[in-house]
Amino acid sequence: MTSKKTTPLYQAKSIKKYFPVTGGILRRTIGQVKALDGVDLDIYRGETISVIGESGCGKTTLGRMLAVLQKPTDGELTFDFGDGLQDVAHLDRGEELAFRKKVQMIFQDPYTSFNPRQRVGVAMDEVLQVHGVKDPEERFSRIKEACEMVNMRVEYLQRYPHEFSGGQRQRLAIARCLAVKPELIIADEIVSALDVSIQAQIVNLLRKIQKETGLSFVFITHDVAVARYVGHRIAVMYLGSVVEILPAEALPENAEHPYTIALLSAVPDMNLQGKKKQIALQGEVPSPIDAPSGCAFSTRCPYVMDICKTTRPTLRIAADGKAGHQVACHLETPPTGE
Amino acid sequence: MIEKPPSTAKLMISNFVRNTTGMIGLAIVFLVVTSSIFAVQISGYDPNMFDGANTSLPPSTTHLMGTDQLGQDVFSRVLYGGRNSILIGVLASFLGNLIGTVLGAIAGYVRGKFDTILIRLSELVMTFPQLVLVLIFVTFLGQGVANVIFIFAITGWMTTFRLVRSEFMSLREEAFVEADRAFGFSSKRIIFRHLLPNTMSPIVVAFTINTAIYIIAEAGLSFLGLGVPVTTPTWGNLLAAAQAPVVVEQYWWLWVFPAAAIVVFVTGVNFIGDGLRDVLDPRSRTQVKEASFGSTLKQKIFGSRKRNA
Repeated sequence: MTSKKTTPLYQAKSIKKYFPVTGGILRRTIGQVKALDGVDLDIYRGETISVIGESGCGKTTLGRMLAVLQKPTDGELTFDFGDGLQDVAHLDRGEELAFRKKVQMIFQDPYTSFNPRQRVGVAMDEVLQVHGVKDPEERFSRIKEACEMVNMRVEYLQRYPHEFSGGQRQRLAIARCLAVKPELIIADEIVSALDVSIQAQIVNLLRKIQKETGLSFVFITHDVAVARYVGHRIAVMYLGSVVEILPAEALPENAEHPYTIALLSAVPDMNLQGKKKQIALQGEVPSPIDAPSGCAFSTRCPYVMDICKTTRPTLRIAADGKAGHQVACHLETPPTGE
Repeated sequence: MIEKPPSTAKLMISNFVRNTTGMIGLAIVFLVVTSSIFAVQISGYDPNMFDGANTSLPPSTTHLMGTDQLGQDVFSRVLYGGRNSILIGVLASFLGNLIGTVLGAIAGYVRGKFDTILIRLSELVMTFPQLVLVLIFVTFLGQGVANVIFIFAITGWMTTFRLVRSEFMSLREEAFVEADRAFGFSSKRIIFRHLLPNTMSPIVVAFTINTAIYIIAEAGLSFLGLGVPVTTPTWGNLLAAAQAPVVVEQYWWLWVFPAAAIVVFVTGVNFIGDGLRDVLDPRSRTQVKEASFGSTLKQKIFGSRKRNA
């Protein structure tokens, strides 16, 4: 994964997504929900990047932006089709299809992500047809190959979605994406609706697929342990912005942002002897309608300074200087967590 | 491509065959339709032939349903009248449903201005009682089978429109639609290939209900003398004969038989609708199989749960 680190496959630059809040009888816009407020993210070839954060921090919105299911209010989305980064937020129909072939998305709810009236095999076949695979033999062999990757018997494809369990359906959803041969798969909370044992199965499957195919993944989750297990790098989100991006192996000791440190200290630990002190953050997450003007975390940060309340920190190289470790914080020396 | 399972259409047919209600309905409709096509051959009389010697005869072996005041054979007229009544009911319902479905599908999926305009238009049309609208149109267009069909269709599309629109509004939020968009499917494909099949059961039910309603509406309109010209026999025109109290009291066969024909046919159509609704839902398929196993109790216990699963 390190060899091709130089140019990203997909780059999101200061992505903003504001949803208008309307009120009154005239339905005038009276405010804006800042779901994403300037997110920068580089996704490299062959890497899995986990996006973690609590409910409402904008991680799902980020996923939908990356899949261009919604257009960003502001910011740049550029994708490398093979000859440099190109804008993908405004595409015509033909270009859009080319982009959608490269970037696939898997959704949270396995029970509704297949058309209930369509046999699963037909659904997979249709996706390939739309993407211009004309030869039925080739479509079949690609579907078969994808099913083998997710350990699904091809004979099962003549069934309807309701005849499968949640885990099976999620595997089928993965296979449906793989059959298209994408370069990036965005997985939005794909294990959160499943049993823990099935979660492990899916997560291991994703790791295996990632190793075998060298695809890039954006793995959105709220589970820190899963994020660390699956991802090469982890992007931590708080209130619509990415506060820290750090290599998975660097967790939790090297975390530098006060929010990341607090978040990680809240993860239950099996090691009873060396149990660390939990950091209990004060207050509530501010409403994204009137987010703080400076650093999003400034209202709750134990190390808050004057500059935090006025100026928004941008992602910079972290103090430890490790490759791929970036943090958005005004503190020059990271807090120790004590 | 993949090793062929029995095709969905075949499965649906075999399930429909096993569906008792549906099959009874189909048998009734088939019987009524074929006998109205072969009206003359079955009854043995020309429906428009006057017979001055045999007026107002009660049912007998020569005239199964008696004769009217002009000596025309009522059996022949009831069968022959079915042609027009069924044509009007089925075609008007089909056209109205087609308009309502297409507009509802697009409005519900695309939303926006198109939706706002259409929903206001449908509200506007719905504020008038349908009968009043029909009367207005009849005065403009005149009487006739084709005109009645057209008028029913353009005054009756709103119910289907609103039904389909609301179904689409809820379906478009489903994850599979989102997935379709992420795969780059065109809106046309999503609307007509993916969402429409999921809306089929309410549409089919609406179609059968509307067919029944329009057959009755035609009868009502013709009864008032505004539908199809009296010279063309329809069930409604035949019923119109019962306007005179003397007919109601003394010549019961003149109105009982056309009325019975309407009831029988409408029941048949509704039965087909019930059967189709069961068959069109893939989730109910296993249920149909189990039901044919013979245990209605089991179906009662597990049926509703299965459907929700």
